[in-house]
Amino acid sequence: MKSSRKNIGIALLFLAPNLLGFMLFTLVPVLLSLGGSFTTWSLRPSVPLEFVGFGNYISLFKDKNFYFFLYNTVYLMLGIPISIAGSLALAVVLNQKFEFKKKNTQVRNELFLAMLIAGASMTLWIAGSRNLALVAFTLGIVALLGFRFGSISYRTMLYLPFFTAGAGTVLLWSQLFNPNFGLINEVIRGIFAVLHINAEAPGWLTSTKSLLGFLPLPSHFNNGGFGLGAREAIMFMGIWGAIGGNNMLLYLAGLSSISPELYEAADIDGASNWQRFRHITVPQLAPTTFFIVVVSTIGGLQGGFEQARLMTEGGPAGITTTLSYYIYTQGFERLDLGYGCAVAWVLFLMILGITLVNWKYGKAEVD
Amino acid sequence: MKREVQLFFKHCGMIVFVVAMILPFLWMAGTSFKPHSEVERASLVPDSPQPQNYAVVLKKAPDAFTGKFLDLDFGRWYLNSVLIAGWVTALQVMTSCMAAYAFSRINWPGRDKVFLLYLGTMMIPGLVLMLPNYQIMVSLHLVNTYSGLILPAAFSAFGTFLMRQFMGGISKSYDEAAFIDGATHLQLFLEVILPLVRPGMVSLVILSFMGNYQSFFWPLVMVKDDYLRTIPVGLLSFSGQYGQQTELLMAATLMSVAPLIILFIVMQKQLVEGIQLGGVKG
Amino acid sequence: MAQVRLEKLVKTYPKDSGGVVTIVKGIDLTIEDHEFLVMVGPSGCGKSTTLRMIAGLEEVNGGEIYIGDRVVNEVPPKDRDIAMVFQNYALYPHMTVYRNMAFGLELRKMPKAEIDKRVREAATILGLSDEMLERKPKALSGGQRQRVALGRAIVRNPKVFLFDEPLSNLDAKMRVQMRTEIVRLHARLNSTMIYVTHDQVEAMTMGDRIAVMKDGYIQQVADPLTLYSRPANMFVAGFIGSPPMNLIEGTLEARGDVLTFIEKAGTTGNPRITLPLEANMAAVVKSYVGKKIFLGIRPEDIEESDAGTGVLFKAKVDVSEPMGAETLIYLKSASHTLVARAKGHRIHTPDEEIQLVIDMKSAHIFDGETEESLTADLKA
Repeated sequence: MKSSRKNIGIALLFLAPNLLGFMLFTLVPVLLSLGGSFTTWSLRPSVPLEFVGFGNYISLFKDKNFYFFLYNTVYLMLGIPISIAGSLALAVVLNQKFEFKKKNTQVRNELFLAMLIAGASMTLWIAGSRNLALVAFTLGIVALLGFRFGSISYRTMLYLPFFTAGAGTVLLWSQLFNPNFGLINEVIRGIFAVLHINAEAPGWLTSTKSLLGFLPLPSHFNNGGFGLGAREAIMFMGIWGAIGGNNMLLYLAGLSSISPELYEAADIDGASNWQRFRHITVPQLAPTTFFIVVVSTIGGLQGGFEQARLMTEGGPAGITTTLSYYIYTQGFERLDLGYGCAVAWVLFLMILGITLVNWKYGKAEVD
Repeated sequence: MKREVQLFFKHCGMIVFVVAMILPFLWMAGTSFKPHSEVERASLVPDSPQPQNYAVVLKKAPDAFTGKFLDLDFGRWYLNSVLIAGWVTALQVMTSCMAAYAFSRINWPGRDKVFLLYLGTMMIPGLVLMLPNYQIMVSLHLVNTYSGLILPAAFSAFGTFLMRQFMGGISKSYDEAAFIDGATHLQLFLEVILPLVRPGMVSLVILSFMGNYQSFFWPLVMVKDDYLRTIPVGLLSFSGQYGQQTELLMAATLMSVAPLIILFIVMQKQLVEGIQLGGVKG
Repeated sequence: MAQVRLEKLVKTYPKDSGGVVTIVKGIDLTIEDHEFLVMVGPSGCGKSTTLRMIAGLEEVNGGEIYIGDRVVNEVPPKDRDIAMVFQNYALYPHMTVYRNMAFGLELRKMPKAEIDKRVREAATILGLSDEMLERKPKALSGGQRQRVALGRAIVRNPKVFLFDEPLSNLDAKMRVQMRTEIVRLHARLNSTMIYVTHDQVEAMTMGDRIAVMKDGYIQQVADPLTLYSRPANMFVAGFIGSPPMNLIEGTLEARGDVLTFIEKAGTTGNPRITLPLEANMAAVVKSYVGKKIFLGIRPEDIEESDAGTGVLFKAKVDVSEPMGAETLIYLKSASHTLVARAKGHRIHTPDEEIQLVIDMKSAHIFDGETEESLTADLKA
């Protein structure tokens, strides 16, 4: 097709609505934000607009809390590798065959299962243990779907936490983590009882303890010591929400494009399952992993806002305040937009830097 | 035979894992039917189910525990969420398709550089933009209005990127045949290209609706009055005001999550295709 | 119908490193009204690019294109009154066959009744049933899809039909069938048709005239028989005809009264081919004594025999390929491998020395440097 100046007219016609919106709601804000970070821009009427050069940035780097919140942000990102590894593991398992070869075996299994479930559920219900009855019933339904439709149905069900993630599920989890009557601690207490362990269930969202709590951190980091606290709760919730999500789907797509001949050659060479995984699967998936790591890092550095706002208000004692939540409080609660923009731009530079590092390192690995 | 047994155990392992993952949803459902007195117990199934919790949340009945009607307008939030997400999705799809057409089917000087600019801004964290966008809204007097909630989200670089990926896969021969047949760009766009990228549009609709339905930050800062709240923001105030009434909170949460579950079950095939096409191509 | 004229047509593409590469290097060609002209040549010779410039899908970088009396360089494709059949058919996958054919007419706001009439007429000509008209392209076979692509062009009643390697995606059997159908179509519609292909068999069997292209230049334009018997240069000689013409490098020597061609020396130890020229040929090339030349002789003009009209020579057999009605015998001479088409079924063993006869009237001589034919005018 000819490339010519005449085409600009037509191109503009098609581009116009999107471009206008883009300029108004993306380009202009970018410039305003950059410019604003050099001023005392504020929505508080008492604060006049003055140019302060790098003033905001300097106060930012002198701000003890900035480093505290940075630590929080990075801490929460520790869950990302676990979640990615989990997605990979799930993808590998779900990529295998789940269909039973013999049709009559399958139908027989299904019927047997249906009767088993019906029987178990009713018995448990009547016996008064309704919770277990529900669990048995659910196991049965999932099993039936799984036997019938194979790995597709498992994949669908595992995607649900990811798809429904949002304010609703965040609130759900804050209920589950309730240290007194939340489901999680009930289960833990049950396990402790069975194993005769005499310990308290974790405080989760009310506790400032953390798994890295043994590190000697400055006092304003409000380090509560070793244990399972608010950060772990948020991380756990994050892993739950991400493990069956887009990453798993991307890995599934990647797995299906690995040529089976590679595995056949490995089998002939006598490789074990683990060796196959390490030397064929993982390297072949390198581009996908690279993409996922880059995207997750970018997202992770910006994350933690919803959880902070809905579950903990950044606490207890500020240990769940991530940089994004900090930007929110500075900009919309204290109304100091200039300072908030400065924090946002520092965050951007961090993202850019880490992405570039990822890129360099990752490209080398992929090639 | 051993293979079949192994397979059976593989299934079992998966089943247990899946059930563990969806257990929170089960608990949510169960708790939403509990009367207030049972909430403190960590059970899945209420002893005496109380379905009118749902009516209470929808303001159709007084709360069994306090005896009063709720002070918050959940039904309205529902409407808002669906309305706003719907509008944003519609606008996004329209403008993204048109822009993607300009980026992929028309050859004009500077095209690739401008597209790179689009891509570049996708890397900038949304937070950088939120603060000034708020100021812009204040200046335009659009704070606390429907337009203010809809417009900024309606123009997406991501949507343009996704549609351009899909359009890139369509052979240029169709364009040439259409030009020889006598089509203008507009006719080519409407009659040939759009029908061929329908799978991409469906994926975009799902992703966009889902993302915007769950959008939290922007409605949070934009909305002051209760009647304008969307569900995520509404749940926040619900939790603040009635946080002790876990049974009502869970009923509200379940209702807010339900449309997503339904949307997902109905559309999951197209959705998976869209993600894999968009992500793997990179 | 109309005449199409190309004058000094040039096409360039910018290179990544700066500068341009010239694909079509200033060609002149006139396609007469009602003519079926084939443009043939190896990949990259510029034939498709030229066709697309005529269609208006590529910009012209130099020279003019006339359709009828109009210069159409700046005219968009839809206003050139042309129709094109693409290599990959380019049928709109989401439209029915009917709509695919009707689309161009719809865009021109033709009345529905007229559209229907034309579509059904074309369908009849091409053997497309009513039921097929309601199907979508993916439900059709390759040959059927090609017919629909033809139909789409026919209904427009254009001044010029353009074909861009339309049969390349079909299997061999279908190709032969569609070839004859297109030729029949041309006879029926009597339109101007420009056809691009890389297959010289298609070119020879379909074209009124053939334009052979290489490296952006037209090597020769002529009817098939002329190209076959009087190729203008070595490229055309080697391109037309299958198996290709044998081209033997060598020199001329005067041996007594007779000008003799002697093959270049080689390392195989086989005898050098030595062939005396006929008198009229010798007269034309006598200034080339001692200079490098090429002798061209087609496989069908070499017969295995020890008698007959022509010059005898001996050579060693390399491989023998019996095809049933004839046998292709590959021969090794001093510095060349030759192909001979012998009639009937012959069996030979490698290294067997056999006797062959050449009809020297059918030989061609080419200038060793310019590769142009020196004997073309002789073969009137």
